Amino acid sequence: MSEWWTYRLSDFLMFSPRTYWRLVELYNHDVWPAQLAGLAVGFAALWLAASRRAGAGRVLAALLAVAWLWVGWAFHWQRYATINWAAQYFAVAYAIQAGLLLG
Amino acid sequence: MKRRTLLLHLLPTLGAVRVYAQNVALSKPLSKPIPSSGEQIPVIGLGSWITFNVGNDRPARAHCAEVMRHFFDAGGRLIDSSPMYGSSQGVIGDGLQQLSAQRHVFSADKVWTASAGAAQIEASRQLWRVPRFDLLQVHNLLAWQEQLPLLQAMKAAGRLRYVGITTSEGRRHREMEQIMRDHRIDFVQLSYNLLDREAEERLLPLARERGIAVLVNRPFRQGALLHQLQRHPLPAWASEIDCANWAQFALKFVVSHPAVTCAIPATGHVAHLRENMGAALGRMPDEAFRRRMAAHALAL
Repeated sequence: MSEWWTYRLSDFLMFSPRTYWRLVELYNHDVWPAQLAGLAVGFAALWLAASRRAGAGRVLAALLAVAWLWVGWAFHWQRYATINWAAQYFAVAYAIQAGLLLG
Repeated sequence: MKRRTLLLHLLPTLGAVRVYAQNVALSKPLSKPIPSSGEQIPVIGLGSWITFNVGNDRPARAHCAEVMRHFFDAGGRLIDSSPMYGSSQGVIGDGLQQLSAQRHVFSADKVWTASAGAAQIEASRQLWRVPRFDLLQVHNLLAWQEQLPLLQAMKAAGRLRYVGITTSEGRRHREMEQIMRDHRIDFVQLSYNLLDREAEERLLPLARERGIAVLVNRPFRQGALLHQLQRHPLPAWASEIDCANWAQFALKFVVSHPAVTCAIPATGHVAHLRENMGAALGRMPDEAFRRRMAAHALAL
């Protein structure tokens, strides 16, 4: 990318704010009631982190990995990538993060 | 009836015919020729950067189709897009399908890759749902040494009608100038507006000299110029060139340049689309008036 110094951050924003928030709205509408499961996983993760039980760390890491995989696939790959070509790379990065948590 | 009486009765109707003819002339959008072929295209086209990138939001896609319908109804033809614009190509394709306008549209798209240009172009064509593109442009000169010969070969084989290159926001003008001098192209696309006038110095005169059509992007600086202008009242003398609003003032400045073929403002609003299309109607500024318009905008 020549003359890279002439680019502003806004030059890379290829969608309007309205379009982005509609994406988030439609995503939440489509996955409902998965948000409730997400909340339950969140509370479980907090409890595990506070419990100091043997093996809690591995379970916690597994739950976080599932969360990263879910967001990477359900949001970035399936939806955000329709308006932002870079989102497919975000999805790959999320999958790598999930793998690191499981590793 | 005596002849004199008959003439007296006819005079008002002659006046009515003259007004009707003037109105007919005012209501026909201005077109300009593509120098390499002589084909006429309306001076106001439609861009799709950001405005048509609405993803899979069905109401939003339907609204874009409505914008396209009003665009075609107002005499528009050229729509410009790119693989870089997210879902815009698919949204355009859906709109063309819905309006049965695949043959009416002047399809202008781009190749934007450092590698497999042919594959990307075919993917774009399928999204547009057109049998072939009218114009393909090397987007922001990316890998132009590879992609320009590809486009030239497509044109020679009859799979494309026109070949072009693009830049925006004043970038890479020197390189663009060199390509315009060294290669046979039909179109250049560049940024030009009331405040960004660098193209007047070399590229626009060169385009005229070489018989290259000019598409203008960012006629409103992506809305920022209009926001700036709209803080002030439209000058009364704008009515001398049939401008009813700042959008028409800004667009008439652009398309009245002798080298400019078509401006491609992007919008997702029917009301704004109608304002933009009004810039193709009525009187156009001459060179002296254009200087006055630019000076006025700079002073605001």
